[in-house]
Amino acid sequence: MNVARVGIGGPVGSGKTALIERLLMVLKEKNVKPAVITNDLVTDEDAERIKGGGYLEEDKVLAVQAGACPHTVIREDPSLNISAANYLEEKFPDLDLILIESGGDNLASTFSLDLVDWWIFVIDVAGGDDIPRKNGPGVIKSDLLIINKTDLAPYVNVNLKKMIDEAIEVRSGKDVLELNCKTGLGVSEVADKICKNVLFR
Amino acid sequence: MTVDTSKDLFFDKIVGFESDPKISDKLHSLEHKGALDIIDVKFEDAQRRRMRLKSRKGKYYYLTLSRDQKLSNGSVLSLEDNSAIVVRVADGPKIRIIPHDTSSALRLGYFCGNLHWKVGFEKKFIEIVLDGEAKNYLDRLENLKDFAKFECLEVDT
Ligand SMILES: Nc1nc2c(ncn2[C@@H]2O[C@H](COP(=O)(O)OP(=O)(O)O)[C@@H](O)[C@H]2O)c(=O)[nH]1
Ligand SMILES: [Mg+2]
Repeated sequence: MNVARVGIGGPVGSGKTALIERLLMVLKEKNVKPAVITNDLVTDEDAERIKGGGYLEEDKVLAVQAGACPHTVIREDPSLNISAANYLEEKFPDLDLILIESGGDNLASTFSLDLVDWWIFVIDVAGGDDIPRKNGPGVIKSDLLIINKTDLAPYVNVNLKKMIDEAIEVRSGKDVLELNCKTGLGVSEVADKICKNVLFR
Repeated sequence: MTVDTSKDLFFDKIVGFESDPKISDKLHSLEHKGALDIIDVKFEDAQRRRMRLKSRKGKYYYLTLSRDQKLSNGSVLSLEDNSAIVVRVADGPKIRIIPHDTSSALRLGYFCGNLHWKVGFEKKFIEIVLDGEAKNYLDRLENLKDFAKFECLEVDT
């Protein structure tokens, strides 16, 4: 049981599933063999969406239903997600990476390092450029902060440069990346960070 | 970045513990010969199973531990005839909260739980294991002063 596990958290609608869809395409080119676990409240919505996209064999996508606040199954008691990940590792011995998407949560959500080796927090410009300076633990403690939907900045009066500078400042210099899931701009940088930090390649 | 993937740079298991009498003598003699290398791991990183590590001698290694293993202070990652590598994890800082009476203690326990803080229980107090600055915790506790009687003590270990 030592396949790399990467968490992807962030508010509802920030683009976590969209990032995974994009990542799956890029990871394939990089010859990384992934599986995905999604967390939804009481449905399998995101898992069905990823399966429907045909990015991955269907049985490499599992859904875990949190039943309550999404952070409970990635931090307080991640056992449902851990057993889903263990199941995938046993079933597919050639996996390199398991991506775990948290159900959309608030800025305080963080991943237990018992569940993942490294985790990403996705926010988006449409949520407002004040989000980084609100000092949410997800924004501050994640290993990589992603600011998604950069294409929307002009429509929602967001100063992207300022938003990014403030994010770097509250994170004391830890990684921050811009992303546009609509065009795919920035996805390959995200894949590179995963490769470097947990796959060591 | 190009990563050197030569096998000896990867640690996929903990091979022993410094405190184990069966190996502590050997570690001692290697230390005298200057053949013991130490890897310092931050308290908040000690839970990770996969990460890049840098030793005091300046060498880089890659940790790929299995899920059922976890680093702790004194974990031995490599033990050879002529060399050994041991992990040091410093105990993190804590805040000790000493309640003045039972009802305050109950309030405090409930409060810390609601904030999802990691705490250790002792007979007369609880200790919050800090994840970040003490001020973040003390600010929150300040809000509780009207509802519970207690003292806070920063414990730096
Ligand atoms: N314009 C734009 N829309 C995006 C982008 N990323 C995601 N979306 C849209 O935002 C909505 C929420 O995305 P989703 O991936 O479901 O978010 P999740 O709840 O975080 O998983 C969907 O309608 C996406 O098509 C982006 O970079 N730009
Ligand atoms: Mg989603």
